[in-house]
Amino acid sequence: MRLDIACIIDDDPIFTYLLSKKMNLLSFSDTLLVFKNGLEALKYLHPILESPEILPSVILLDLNMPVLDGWQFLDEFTKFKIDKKITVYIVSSSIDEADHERARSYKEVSHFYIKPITEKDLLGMLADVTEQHGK
Amino acid sequence: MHTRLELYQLVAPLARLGIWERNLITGEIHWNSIISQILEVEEGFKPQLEESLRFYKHPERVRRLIDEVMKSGEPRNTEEELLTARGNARHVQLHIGAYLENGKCIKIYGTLRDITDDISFKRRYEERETRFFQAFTHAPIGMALVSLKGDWIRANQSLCALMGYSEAELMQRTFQDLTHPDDLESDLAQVKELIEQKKDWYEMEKRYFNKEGQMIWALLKVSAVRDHAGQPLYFISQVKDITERKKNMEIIKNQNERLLNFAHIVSHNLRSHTGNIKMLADMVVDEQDAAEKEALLNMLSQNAGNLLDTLSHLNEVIKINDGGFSNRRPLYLRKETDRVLDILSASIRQADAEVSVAIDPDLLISLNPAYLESILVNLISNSIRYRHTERRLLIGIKATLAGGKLTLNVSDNGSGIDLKLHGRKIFGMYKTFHGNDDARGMGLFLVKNQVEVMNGKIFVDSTPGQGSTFTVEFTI
Repeated sequence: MRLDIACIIDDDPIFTYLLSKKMNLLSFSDTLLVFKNGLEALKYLHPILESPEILPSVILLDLNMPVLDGWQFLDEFTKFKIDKKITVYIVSSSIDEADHERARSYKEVSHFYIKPITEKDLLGMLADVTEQHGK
Repeated sequence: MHTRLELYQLVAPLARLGIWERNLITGEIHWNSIISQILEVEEGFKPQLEESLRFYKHPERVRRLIDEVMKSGEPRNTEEELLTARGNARHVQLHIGAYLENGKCIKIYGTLRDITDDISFKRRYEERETRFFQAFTHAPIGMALVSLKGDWIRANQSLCALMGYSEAELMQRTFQDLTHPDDLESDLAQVKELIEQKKDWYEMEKRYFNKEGQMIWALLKVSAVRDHAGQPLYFISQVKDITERKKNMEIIKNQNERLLNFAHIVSHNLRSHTGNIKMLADMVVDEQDAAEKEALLNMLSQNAGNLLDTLSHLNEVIKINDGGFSNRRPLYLRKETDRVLDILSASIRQADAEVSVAIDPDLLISLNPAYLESILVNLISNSIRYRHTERRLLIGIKATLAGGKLTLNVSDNGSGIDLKLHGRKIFGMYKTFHGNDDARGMGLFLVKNQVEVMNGKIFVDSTPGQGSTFTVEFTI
């Protein structure tokens, strides 16, 4: 089971390198998009909102980022009217309960993964997203 | 005369009034039953004048008064203490009149009333009043009687000491005059509720200004003293100085915030590196391809380096929070600013920036010199770094001293920051906003720590595309 398009939004180049490598090894998706902050991701997504076939089906979102952070990205993203189920996971090193609490307040956020991300986490996402999209 | 006496005999017991009469010619004595009751003697007991005077604590005084009345014919009265036949102490009011014929007194008469209860009530009342005024005068907190309009009627020593005015000076002012304008409305609203009998008292934390113009934080409790109809007559205000407590609370609040912020930084920034190291280490183990393994190992080394950098940054912060206060010394702000501009002269020239400084050369302030330098260097370098690409950079550095507060502004006409988006994060660690790769997100974070550890405050005002103004405030 391989997803069409996955998307990572994270400012840490080492982490995105490692995560994409792991995802490729697991054949996570056909295409992987990487953005280094929320603004870059929004700039990419905004013009293609009407074209569900090229929108990602999963977004792995970091919280602490320059320019536009994870929360600010979510606040914009949740305003979008999208004709495709996009599963959003927060992938952050924050163990601050306030962040976890806040993440739960967004119904668009399916789960909060704490870095580092393991293969098991990625497989869990894969199963989860496949199931959600099957419904 | 006879009927009148009968009437007296009927009415006097109702008024608990003792009536007596001595005919000095016939020796006839009349005492009504109330006198017998007051003196606790058998009814019918009618002693001679001298004997009856023995009931009094000061018989000679009564005797003297009777003599005066007998001589002048003018009625007199007195309040006396007496001891009844059964040995009970009583207070009485004695009225004495005399009937003179041809200048010779032939009859004395009068009334006797038991006022023991009145006296003890009065004593209790007086004692209570003394107690209140003793407590009022010597209370360790400020106390005042305040008119409904807000004039001070009386103020105790503590309040005068707190406000810095003598009682006479205070009387010439109203509480409104001394109240911080921001707290006046709420205070007056509650005074109104007292007057309208919606409340018996109120309590609030408020600010006053003392004679020297210094702000005082106080806990104020006001109650209304009302007449029998419930109409307020005046207010009793109690004013407790909580300036020190407020100051300490502010310091503790700041410290807690910094501590929490620091815990957050440690949690986030250290974890992100260690998370990467863990992932890298696992992947190095599993990697078969030698070249790829080499690349991963390089990254591992790079990440360990980042971790060390972060640790040393955290150490910088701890050092600031540790020792900012002790290393203060008086500095001429103008001189220090000029020195910093000299340090930055190369980049100022390169950016072709125009810098204007408006600081009084005599302005002296006690600060940590290293931190003041860091604050100025960071704020000015930020102006240079984030200048607008399409116009000449103007930097204004200004300092004003007012109300015991030094305000330092560094403003520019640069690219500005969207405070709606970044306002909350602008002084955060590792927060960068312009997407510049050389920004490390430490400058403003350190500046904020340095300012706060010297009990200052820092704010920013900015309009994207127009420029920014950073304001630093220190209490002198």
